[in-house]
Amino acid sequence: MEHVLALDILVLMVGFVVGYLYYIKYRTAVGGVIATPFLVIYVVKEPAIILSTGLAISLAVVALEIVHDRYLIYGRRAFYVAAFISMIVFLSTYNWVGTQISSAFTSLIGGIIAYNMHKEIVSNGDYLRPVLVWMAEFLTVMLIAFIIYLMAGVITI
Amino acid sequence: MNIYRVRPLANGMLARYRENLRKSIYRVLVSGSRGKTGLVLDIYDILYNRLGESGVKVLGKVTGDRPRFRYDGEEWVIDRGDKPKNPMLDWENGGIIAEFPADIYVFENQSIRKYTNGVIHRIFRPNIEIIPNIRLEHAELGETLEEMAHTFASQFYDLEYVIYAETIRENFEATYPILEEYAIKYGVELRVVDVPEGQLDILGIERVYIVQELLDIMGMEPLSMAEFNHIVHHIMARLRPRYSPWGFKYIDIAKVNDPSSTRMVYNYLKRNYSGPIYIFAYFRGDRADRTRFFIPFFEDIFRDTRVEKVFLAGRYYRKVKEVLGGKAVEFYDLEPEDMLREVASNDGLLVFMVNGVHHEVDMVRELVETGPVPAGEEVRSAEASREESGEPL
Repeated sequence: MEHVLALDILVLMVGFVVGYLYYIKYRTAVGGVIATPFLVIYVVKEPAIILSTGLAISLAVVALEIVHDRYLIYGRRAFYVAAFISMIVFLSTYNWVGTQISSAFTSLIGGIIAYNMHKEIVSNGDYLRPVLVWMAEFLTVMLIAFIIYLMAGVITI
Repeated sequence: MNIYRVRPLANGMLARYRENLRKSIYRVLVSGSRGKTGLVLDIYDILYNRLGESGVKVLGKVTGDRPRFRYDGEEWVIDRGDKPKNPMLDWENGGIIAEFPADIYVFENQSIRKYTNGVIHRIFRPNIEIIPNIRLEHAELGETLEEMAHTFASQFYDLEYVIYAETIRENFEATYPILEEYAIKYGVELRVVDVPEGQLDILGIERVYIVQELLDIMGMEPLSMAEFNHIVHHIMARLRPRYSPWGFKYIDIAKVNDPSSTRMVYNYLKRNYSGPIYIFAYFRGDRADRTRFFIPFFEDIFRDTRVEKVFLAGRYYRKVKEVLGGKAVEFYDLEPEDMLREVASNDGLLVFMVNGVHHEVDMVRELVETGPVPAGEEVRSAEASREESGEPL
């Protein structure tokens, strides 16, 4: 157990370094600081989580665009909207995905990423770039984390 | 006085906001770093005087220390309630648009972050944006001039025209290519204001030429001599030192809180004033980015023989104190009255700089404006003032 915790912390550190480098290079922080590495830690152990989180991110980003346009809501209020949508989507797909992870934080990750994506979209007037940058960052951390857990024997192919 | 109280947008207000925005002909957003408030008010005055009688409605809204707007010849003060420094952009701007239908809206861009800059554009949907200048001021809009240019230019996507008027050559050279790149990308007409070489050292003179350009876009006659004088009068009034009852002249340029603009005003003052100069510089703890941007300016002040002393107040100014060497005086080491007596005895010019929004600055400003306190009345020292506010010493 301690062994896995140490690996999780190592992946978090890797996530921070990769996030930092992506921020310096692209000046966007789409996933926020902690959400992307945490998502990676969960997804490596239970790949199905990417389905519910991916759906939560997509729906929350679209919802924020609509809410922002229709009601002019922004900032912290927009974050609450994203967080609620993310939690509802996660709960709705919990059985379907069949996850064993019991951390409530998992249900928030999609909302955090969606809110940061919304901020980048509004800040830069560009929809595609934030999505592509986040996907690249996520895949980079995912690949490194996969290698770390595989070499430590936490996961097997 | 008319007061507009900011409140949450009810459904009916949202519908009226959308309707009024759709019906408006011009939505002019004034962004950039310096001179936004004065520019908005001058544009409003000129448009209202020209069009008011013909029934065209104009609304000019400014923010800053005194958020307010002018509509139909009347001034309205904006009451933001308990949190005046932390306004809800949607309630304030959406609400005013909803309740005051206009053909021409001229709004000052009140954002100091990339995100809220985007939010303002989405709320206001400008078709003309004026950028009088781009100066290093709020790090969250960009750490460099190039980053700031990207921040402003990335919002060009909905615009038809951009008017750009940066008069500092190096700032222009750093920013213009970026603005041009985005203008081409989004099909926006980018108009650069040409200020005659001989007027470049008058801070804010570009305002005249910006208004000319805007009138041209709107298909109106150029400025008349009376309108020209109206704008120039406003520009020059801000650059004129006032007399203090203490017996010296003073000028408050703390509202000009970016180093490039401060340098321009400072040079103008040096040319037009012959005595020794004393600076009262206040550094806000929550504006460490601004303090950092000002360090090269104070390096030059150290070498400037016209400056006698720089009184430093506020927080986190250690680096500024270092570069100023012997010219630096800790404001907290003396009584405010002693500082003012020294300026008066040397017939100096006292210049307020860097930050103007803080109760300690208000206290010194009030003391300068009201003159010496009659004997017997209590005098509050700077430290007492800090203790009262609960700030750590």
